[in-house]
Amino acid sequence: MIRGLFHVGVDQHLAPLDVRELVAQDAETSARIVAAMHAEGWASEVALLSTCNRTELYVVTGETDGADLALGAWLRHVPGAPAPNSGYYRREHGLGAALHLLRVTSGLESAILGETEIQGQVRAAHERGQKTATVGPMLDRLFQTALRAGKRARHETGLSAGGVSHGSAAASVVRRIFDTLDDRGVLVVGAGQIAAQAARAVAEIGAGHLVIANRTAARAEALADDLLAATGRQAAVRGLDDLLATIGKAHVAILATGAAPLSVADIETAMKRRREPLLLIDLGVPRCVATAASAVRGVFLYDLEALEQLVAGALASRRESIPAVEALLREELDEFTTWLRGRGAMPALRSLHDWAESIRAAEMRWLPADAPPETREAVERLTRRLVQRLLGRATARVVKGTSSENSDLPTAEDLKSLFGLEEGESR
Amino acid sequence: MARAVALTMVPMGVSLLVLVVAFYAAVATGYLEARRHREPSPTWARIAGPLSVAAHLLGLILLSAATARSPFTTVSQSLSFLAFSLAALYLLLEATSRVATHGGGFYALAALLAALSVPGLVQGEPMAWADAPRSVPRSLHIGLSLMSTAAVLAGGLLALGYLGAYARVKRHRLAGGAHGPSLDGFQRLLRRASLLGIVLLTPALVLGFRAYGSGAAAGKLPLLTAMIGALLVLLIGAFILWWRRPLRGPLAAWLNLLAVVVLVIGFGIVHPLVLRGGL
Repeated sequence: MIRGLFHVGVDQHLAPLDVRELVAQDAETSARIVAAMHAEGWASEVALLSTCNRTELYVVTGETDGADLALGAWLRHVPGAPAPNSGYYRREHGLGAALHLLRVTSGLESAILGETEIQGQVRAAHERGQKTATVGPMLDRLFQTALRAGKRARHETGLSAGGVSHGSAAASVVRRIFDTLDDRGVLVVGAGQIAAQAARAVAEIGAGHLVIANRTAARAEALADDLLAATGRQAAVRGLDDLLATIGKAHVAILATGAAPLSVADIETAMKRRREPLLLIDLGVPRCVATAASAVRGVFLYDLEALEQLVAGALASRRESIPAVEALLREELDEFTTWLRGRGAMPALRSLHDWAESIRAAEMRWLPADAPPETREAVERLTRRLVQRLLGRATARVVKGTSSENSDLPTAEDLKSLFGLEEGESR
Repeated sequence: MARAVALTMVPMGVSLLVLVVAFYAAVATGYLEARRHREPSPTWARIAGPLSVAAHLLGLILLSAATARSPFTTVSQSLSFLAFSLAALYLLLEATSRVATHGGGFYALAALLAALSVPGLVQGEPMAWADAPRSVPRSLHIGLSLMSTAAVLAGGLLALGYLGAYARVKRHRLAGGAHGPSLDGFQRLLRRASLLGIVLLTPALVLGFRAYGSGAAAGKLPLLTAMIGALLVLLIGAFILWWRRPLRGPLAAWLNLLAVVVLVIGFGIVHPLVLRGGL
């Protein structure tokens, strides 16, 4: 059981897009809201995560109705937001709240299962909380645990495997054929939205020579600028004349234009005197390349249907990873709760150390007043080390006993009873 | 005293050579299971693999030191040395590429070869050249031949991997999860394996002529030369295609597989000669 941790928020499972739009906050507003809520004093820690699909608030408070308090305080900063009882808001507390953040960070709760952007967004929310000093020890540890769990889920399971958009599916095909595109040519025929998306995904892998061929030079130049801004890669722009020769020089050709389809003979012409394979990604409807061209030696042809099959396959494969990811999250959550239990011993330990320090300081008064400063300093050092060493082993055992629930080890309660300590009070 | 030490080293060496069969089989199972589940190869298998190869090397060294002969003086020892060469070559490949997803095949073949060597090793198979005077060219010839055999077998396994990957990409059957080297990666690995086969086989051929040119096996030499010549031609052809014409990858892969077939036929000719002491 985790006491004092609450989560409220909206996401794509409970709220329609217009509600999510309304409550979504940019980084600056998020920082302002958490600072204002923290300043109200009822919550010791506050963090706000806002993405296109979810806006979530995590608070730590001693109040029993923390979720309602958090929701009320948050909605005061969101004019026009639906009422707390509208049914759009998710409320969790304790373990449920902690597990929810772990699930969100790993991508289990994302609209696209296993998507990776959420990891960066959670990291940004954590950093924002640290910058505004609204994140304390519990949320700090929880976010660290969530980020580690997210990283493990992506590396140790197949949760983020394969491409789940046309662009990323095209990029995953490229990776199956070429180790790198750094010294190779990528040709984009067409400058529409779908071509741009695929071109961006492929250019991110790397492209030695990037060429955009389009009927309208202005649109091709706009796409080239967009690619330069998104991937830092310069693209050459040209018309559709002599397209076969241009395809013949490329290693990856992304085709998304309504021009007359390329026949098998055209592709065979383009493949003449080539040394390396050619990947044709046909995003056109109707198709830009005759389906039979896939039989040409060294040609790999992927049309929209093939890419969509890949997306479906990747999603199915990601779904298969869910049990493994959930097991991994349970491990991480156990680690977090163990830490939290250990942290429960801190007030008693602080009292013990304060008590020992007060005794040490009292005994120091017996030192003769005319003792030389060096002697005084040496005795100070000696007594401090003595206290630390005497309490060191007991401290470690109590932390271990409290966090592990091992009945053979002393707990914070045993410590209090043994020394007659009261939390936050030294004798 | 030295003889007593040598006598205890023989069973130790043989025990290790027998034990590695189980090690290789376990590692192969780990790799193959991971591949079946489209997961990265397990860490324990990636650690146990090199340890098994190290244990195998130690076994060969102990045996060689005890007998004061090369570790391939019998057919069984040669098979064990071949298994070791294949596993060691795989370690080199794994360290320099994403071939780990195909490690199961390498370790399984190494386990099979090492297992085939067990009966002879345990029963104390007589040395094929026990009565023959020691000959450096012959030892070098056999060692290089076995290592080039490992390179040809590695080429065959990689060629199978390439053909599978090629067919999957061509037919749009790309499953998620760990997928091993790209076609590009396979091409580079196969180029290296083919080149290694050529580099090891050429001196092996020359040394073979020197060692057996006038011996009892001289009668079989034209046939053996033709086999090794065919093997070399296939490897050179594959290497050139992998290097200069990656577009013809499937053809090059078939050349690598044909090389394995020629190798097996060649073994069918050499093996009876070895058993009769003709080589």
